[in-house]
Amino acid sequence: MILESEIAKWEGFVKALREDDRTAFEELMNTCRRYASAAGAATRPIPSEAMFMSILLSHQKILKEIEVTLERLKASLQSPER
Amino acid sequence: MKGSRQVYSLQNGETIKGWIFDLYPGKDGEILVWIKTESGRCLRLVDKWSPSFYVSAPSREDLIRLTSYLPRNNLDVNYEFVDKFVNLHDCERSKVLRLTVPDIVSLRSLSTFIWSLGDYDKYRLWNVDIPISQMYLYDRDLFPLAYVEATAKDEGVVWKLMDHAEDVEYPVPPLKIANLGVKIDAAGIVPCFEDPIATILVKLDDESVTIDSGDEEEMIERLVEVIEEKDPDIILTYGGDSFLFTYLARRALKTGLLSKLRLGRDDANLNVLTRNGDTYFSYGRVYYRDAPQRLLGRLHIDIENSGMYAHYGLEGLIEVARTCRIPLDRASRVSIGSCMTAIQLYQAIKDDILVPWKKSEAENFKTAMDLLVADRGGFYFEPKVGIHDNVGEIDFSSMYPTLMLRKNISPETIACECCPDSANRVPELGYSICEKRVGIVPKVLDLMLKKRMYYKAMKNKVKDPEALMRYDQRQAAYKIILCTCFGYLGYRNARFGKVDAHIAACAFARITLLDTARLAEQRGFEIVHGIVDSLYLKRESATDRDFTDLCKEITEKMDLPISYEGRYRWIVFLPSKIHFGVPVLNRFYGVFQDGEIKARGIELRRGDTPNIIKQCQEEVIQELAKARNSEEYIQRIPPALSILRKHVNRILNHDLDIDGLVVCKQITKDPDHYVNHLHQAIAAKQLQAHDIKVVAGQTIRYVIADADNKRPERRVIPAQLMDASVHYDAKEYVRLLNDAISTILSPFISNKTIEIEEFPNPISLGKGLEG
Repeated sequence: MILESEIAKWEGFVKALREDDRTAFEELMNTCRRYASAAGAATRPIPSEAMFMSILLSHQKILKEIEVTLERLKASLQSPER
Repeated sequence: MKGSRQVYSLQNGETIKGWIFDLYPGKDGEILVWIKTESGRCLRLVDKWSPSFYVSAPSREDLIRLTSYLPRNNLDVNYEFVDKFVNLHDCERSKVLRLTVPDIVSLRSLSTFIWSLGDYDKYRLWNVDIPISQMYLYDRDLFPLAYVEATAKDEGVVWKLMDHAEDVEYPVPPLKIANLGVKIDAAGIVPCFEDPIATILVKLDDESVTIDSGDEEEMIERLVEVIEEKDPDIILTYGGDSFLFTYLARRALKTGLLSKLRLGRDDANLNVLTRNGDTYFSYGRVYYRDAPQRLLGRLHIDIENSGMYAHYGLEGLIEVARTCRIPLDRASRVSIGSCMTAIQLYQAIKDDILVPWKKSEAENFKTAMDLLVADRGGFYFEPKVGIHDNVGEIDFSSMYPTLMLRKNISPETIACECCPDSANRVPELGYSICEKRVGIVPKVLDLMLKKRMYYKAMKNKVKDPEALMRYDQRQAAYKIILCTCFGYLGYRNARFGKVDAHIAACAFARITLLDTARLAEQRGFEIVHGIVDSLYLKRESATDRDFTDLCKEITEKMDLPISYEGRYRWIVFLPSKIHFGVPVLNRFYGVFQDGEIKARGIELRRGDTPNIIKQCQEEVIQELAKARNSEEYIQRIPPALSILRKHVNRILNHDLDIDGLVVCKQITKDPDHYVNHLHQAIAAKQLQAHDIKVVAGQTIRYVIADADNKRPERRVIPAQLMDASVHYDAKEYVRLLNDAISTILSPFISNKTIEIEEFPNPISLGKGLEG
């Protein structure tokens, strides 16, 4: 509930975005929704702090995943069979 | 028909043994109690008893001054000074005034009078609004269906209790049950009070009596004779409270037989007037309960108006009535919360604690930051959307009640004044918990938890189907009462509730779930989902043994019993219908290893879904359930979709029973208060136009006739107004079918809904979003 009302407060920001940016924004908000329980447990008086942390956390996971994939690709490119 | 019936009452000095079956107030200062004897007779005892209540004031002088006012009041009032715990958290007894009055009417008028004397402030009143029969049971330390020896004396009844409410195995007398139904010769579509009786059917265990000859007068006379002759203990009806008995009374009134229409054992007429029931709000929903039609000396259960009987059967009802000390007729109709309150009231009276009339227990002061930290519910881990193989489910058994018992959580024990330095603290919040005494809530819970555990164990042990049903009904009734006991801690109208205790229970529950999750992770399990008191865990090729070992370890370390519910072959957690790919709580379905299907939050679990939709969704899931893992699941989707096609054809070809299309929805407001044209509101207004009483909380049954019609009244037809010519909106029902199947397959379809035109190759199948 708190999360949804906080998202609603960003309405002006969303309105000013182009369509592809709006899609990206919606994806970010879905990330926040996925961490709603942990964000609630953080009991931050300013809800956007918990939202930003959720987004950072999600980005960290994606970065890690990309890093591992890149390392694997790099290894396969450098392998002697090639 | 015989004239006024003579009720046999016990003579002075006579003694009988039997079970307390029914009780209610008689003349002033009297309570009438019906005893079911071992020989099967039902006898009435008259006990001398008057209700009393208590008054407290800032000083004893105030109370003495109050007594000087009493003689001016024309009531036969007795008073005495006694010592009681005035407030739940008091450590010492205080002097209060106990006032005894002849009956409930004088109790109400005198209490209101005294309250007004001190400007509604000085005098505080206690034990004022406890139902009178219940108060009698508390006072005499009796309970419904208790086995007793009773001796009639001039000064009242001398009771010898030979039973214990704490017992889990107890004899229940054989109770004779009659089902009563009336067919009405209705002139219109909807029967009304003016329509004559067509047939009366009285069905007992071994025989049934049909009354269909003679005029109406003779039929009513015959009904009274049959009831008197067969002498059932319980009369079951469908709609006895809402319509049937009032209808019979009206017909009897018309034929001049009202005074003779006695279906109870005692002399009392049925209500001729339709009395308004109660609309009430519970857990976010609005309900309606009809006013009771009471049969004195006999138990009338209107199955449509008795949640307790409908859900937990006669065994559940009797168990609750005995333990919570609530008379059977009341127990059959009241909410679960009232049952919970009843046993707390008994405990309070036993412990010399007064029961507040106008509750004024305030919440402890909290800053905004305190509230932010404290005012939270249980914890959950969002489910990982998609299909998962080999997931085990583990649940804490009665988590909240057990925590409340073990941690001594009660309104008077949290942040009590007597132990500010207590070593027992609420996690995260730091509130102290009393070390010196056991709270009233844990005291009550102890008995109920023990009983539920026993019945649950017996249910799993016995083979005899009758015994199995008995234990199951009893444990199921406790399950729901135990849930309520936590909710009532934070309910502002609860007698013994305080939000700080509610918050404390939540804090303990959160920390318990988090610690348990940590432990599971340390043992290599992945948390697929967790909610309040249960966890869904997976670990590659984990066996049942692995899960039971984990449960054993958790039970030991957390000092809280957790049970292994089973392992799913596969389980699908569904995403939000609004936000793509975002998980939602409590919407999933899966198949256990033994083939049992468990589904939550989807259409087939909802009360308002038409049967055809439920049936289709169920069949689709059954088809998917043949899959042993997620790979086979994907292969099962095409045959599952052909089931959808079959049901769509049924709708399009009108190859179905119209009952399967009925939507049942509760209205949350009176029909006139609806501004928007919601289907249930349109149907309710149509019923009203046919002089059928419709109020907030009632369930409206209707068929969608033409969902897009510009004239709202043509969009739906209430079930009561349907005739042979009824039409339904096939397109709308097909849309509902598609929605229902889209719901369960949503993680596997690219677009949000399945379009029927896309058949036979409707959707592109992919692996779930995750998992």
